[in-house]
Amino acid sequence: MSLLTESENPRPKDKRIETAANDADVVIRLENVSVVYRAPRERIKTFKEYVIRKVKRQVEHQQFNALRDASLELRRGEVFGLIGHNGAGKSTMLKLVSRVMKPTRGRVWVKGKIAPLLELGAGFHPELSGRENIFLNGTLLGYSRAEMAKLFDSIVEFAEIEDFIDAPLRTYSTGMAGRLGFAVATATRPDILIVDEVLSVGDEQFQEKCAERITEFRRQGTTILLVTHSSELVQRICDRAAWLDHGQICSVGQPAEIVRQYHDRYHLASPVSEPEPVEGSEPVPEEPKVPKIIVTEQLEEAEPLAGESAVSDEVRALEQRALQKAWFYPFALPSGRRVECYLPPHVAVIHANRLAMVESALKTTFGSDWSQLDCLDVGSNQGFFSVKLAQRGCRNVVGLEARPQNIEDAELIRKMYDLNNLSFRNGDVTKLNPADWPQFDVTIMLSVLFWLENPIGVLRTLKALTRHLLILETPVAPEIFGEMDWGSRDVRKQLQGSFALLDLTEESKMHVGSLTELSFCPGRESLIWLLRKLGFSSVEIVAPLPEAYEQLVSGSRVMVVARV
Amino acid sequence: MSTPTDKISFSARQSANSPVYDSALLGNPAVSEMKDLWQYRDLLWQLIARNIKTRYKRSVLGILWTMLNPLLMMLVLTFVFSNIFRFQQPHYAAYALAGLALWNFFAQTTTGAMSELIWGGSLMNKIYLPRSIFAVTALGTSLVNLLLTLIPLFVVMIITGVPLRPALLILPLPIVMTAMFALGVALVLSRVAAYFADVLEMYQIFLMAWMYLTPIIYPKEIIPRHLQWMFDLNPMYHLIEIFRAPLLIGWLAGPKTVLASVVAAFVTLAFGWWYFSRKADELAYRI
Repeated sequence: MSLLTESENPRPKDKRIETAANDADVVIRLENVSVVYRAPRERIKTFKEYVIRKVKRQVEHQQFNALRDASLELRRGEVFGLIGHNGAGKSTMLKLVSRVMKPTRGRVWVKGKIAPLLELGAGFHPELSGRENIFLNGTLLGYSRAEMAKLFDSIVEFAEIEDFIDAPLRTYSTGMAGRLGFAVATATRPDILIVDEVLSVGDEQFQEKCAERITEFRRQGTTILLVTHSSELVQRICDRAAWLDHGQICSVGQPAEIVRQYHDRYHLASPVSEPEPVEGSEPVPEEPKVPKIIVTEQLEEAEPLAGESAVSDEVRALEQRALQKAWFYPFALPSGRRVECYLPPHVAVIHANRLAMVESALKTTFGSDWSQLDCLDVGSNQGFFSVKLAQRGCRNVVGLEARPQNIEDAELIRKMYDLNNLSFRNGDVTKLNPADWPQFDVTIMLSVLFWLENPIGVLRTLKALTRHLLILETPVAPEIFGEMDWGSRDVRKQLQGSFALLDLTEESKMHVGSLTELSFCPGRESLIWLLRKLGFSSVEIVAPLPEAYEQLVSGSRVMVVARV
Repeated sequence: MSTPTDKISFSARQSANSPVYDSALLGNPAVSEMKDLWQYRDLLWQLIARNIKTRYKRSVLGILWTMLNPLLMMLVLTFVFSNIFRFQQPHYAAYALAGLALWNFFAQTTTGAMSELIWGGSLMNKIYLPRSIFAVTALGTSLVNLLLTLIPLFVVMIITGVPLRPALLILPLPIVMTAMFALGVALVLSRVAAYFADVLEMYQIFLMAWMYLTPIIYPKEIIPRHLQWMFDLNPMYHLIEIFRAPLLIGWLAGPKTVLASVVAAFVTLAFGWWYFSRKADELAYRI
């Protein structure tokens, strides 16, 4: 046996007691921790209902595994990030560490004083004065009255509320209450600081002061446990991170690596798992679904151009007209010259990226022969993608565009290349009746969805128009997840995603983009869920090339391929 | 290696010597709940003080209202029952006021415990608190109110010619017995209320019926003899009796009543504490 195989196969569980005694640096240790909730299968809201069902023996319980066999060690002074979707087990993990919840199986070991950064003003009472609230809040966090009396002056000073200390809290501004909350929570250096979601207290100056205090704690050895949806934040401030999915720790390691894995695998994983039925036996942990991703290939440059001398006078005249116009796209002209693109180069690169992504998606599905494909390009603008699809040999390409000026520009290019398989139609996709149109094998709609005030209606229209493949590309809104009250406090609905409401009054006056003054932009998960809901059999994300446009790489803009 | 002596409670009190929390070393939930409550005693005072202060901060009469409220109730009752029903109850005013004071103590503790626990739900989700602190806070708050109502009670006794006898010194005994009984009931109710939204509402109706079935505002003699067994089964009847006896008779109540009160107090509290602390951890995600 070589040493290598030895070290690759550490004995899994036996060593936990040794490490507990030896490793003085460990402050939090989870050993094979599982948390199982037991709840009635149907939500029973009232006692009356419960009694009636109990009598009729209709109360069925089911288990929900909030955390499965999780093991993790956190060391002194590190900033540790937990990422994962709602229901992935992040908050369960926090609750275990802060003793709010006990593990069903396994062991949780925590050394040192824990301080949670609560939501602003949790535990404050509006009628009590700032002074009284400091004592109340401090004792809630586990300090004694005597300790609070000693810390009192420094808290007031840090929160900058000396003049209002005896006024009732209801007279405080949100900023003041937030400052007071932060000052109490961080009155002494904790060994472990728990931060749930991003912290923003008061004005910029105070935020700096908070950041300074946290940095100071960290320097003195405080471990920070951060839970967030923001992978950007994890990459920026964490030393290590873990990614949770369906109650399992998928991986632990360097933040950049964890975020990459999370991004690669999570966009398409199914949403929060349904609770599993109780069947006496131990539930088998399921592997997180690995979503399919279309990988973009680096494609060879476009076909060789003819050169200036080879083009006809007619084409040269068209080129002359084109060269005098302002273009959104960096069209190459038949002679080899290029039109002037008014986008800055670092933005203009997006067109090439998107083209490569669309081509990869089509190649994955249809191979390299596209001669049987009818394509629709919704919001074709000056026709860049329509022209490319027509040039790559699609049987028939239709560009739908609402602004006649754009169609005029696109026609110029079409004529230059003499593309008989391409036509443009003037129209607004929001008002289009699918019954008046034929179906297309492929529908693409790039950079349009986020300008629309009725995105769901448009997606329905696209579904009706598409025979095989719909390719969408759009920036996506930040999302919230969780539940909301529905009807009464007993009825809760799971959010499937969220839309952002945007004011496009200014943009609607421009010659690209919105036709309306409002738009309603979906988040990524919402978009994926919605496409599935509208009947697409599979929805995939197109992975951008590593050097692609920053928004595509960071995930704030996505390309989605939906199959009918 | 860990030994049982590592069972240090997880509180800032030990911040100096790095407290260790180990889920594998948690003992009996009923015992650790009690220890933790002791650790958080300062919070208990703060919560009680908060309840008292906020109740009076924005009212003109302030703390006087606590004393006036049962007094006015008693005046109405005295008028109705002495002049219209013509009860043969000696010192009816003191009799009714004493009964009401103790009943309100019980009712406020039990209903208050449920509302306190629901108020604390969002906090319990984020930070560790001994969950029983909410019921004990409700108890402490109602105890302060009870002590405040004793003042008008003594005034009424003096005015209506009931002598203030040395037996008053044993009043803490019935108050402690009632407190224990009320806390036991409050713990059971708040665990159930955490699961079902309608418990508080149903309990209030039940409480109303219970009050009228207890001789608080009427003398027990008006109930026919063949129904008197009802009182024997009612712990609140016994508790009110042992509370009234030193006030009105100037001595302890009969041995049967004292024994029934003590048994009701200890058994209810022990059961309530066990029942509550057994599932106290679940409350955080039920509310």
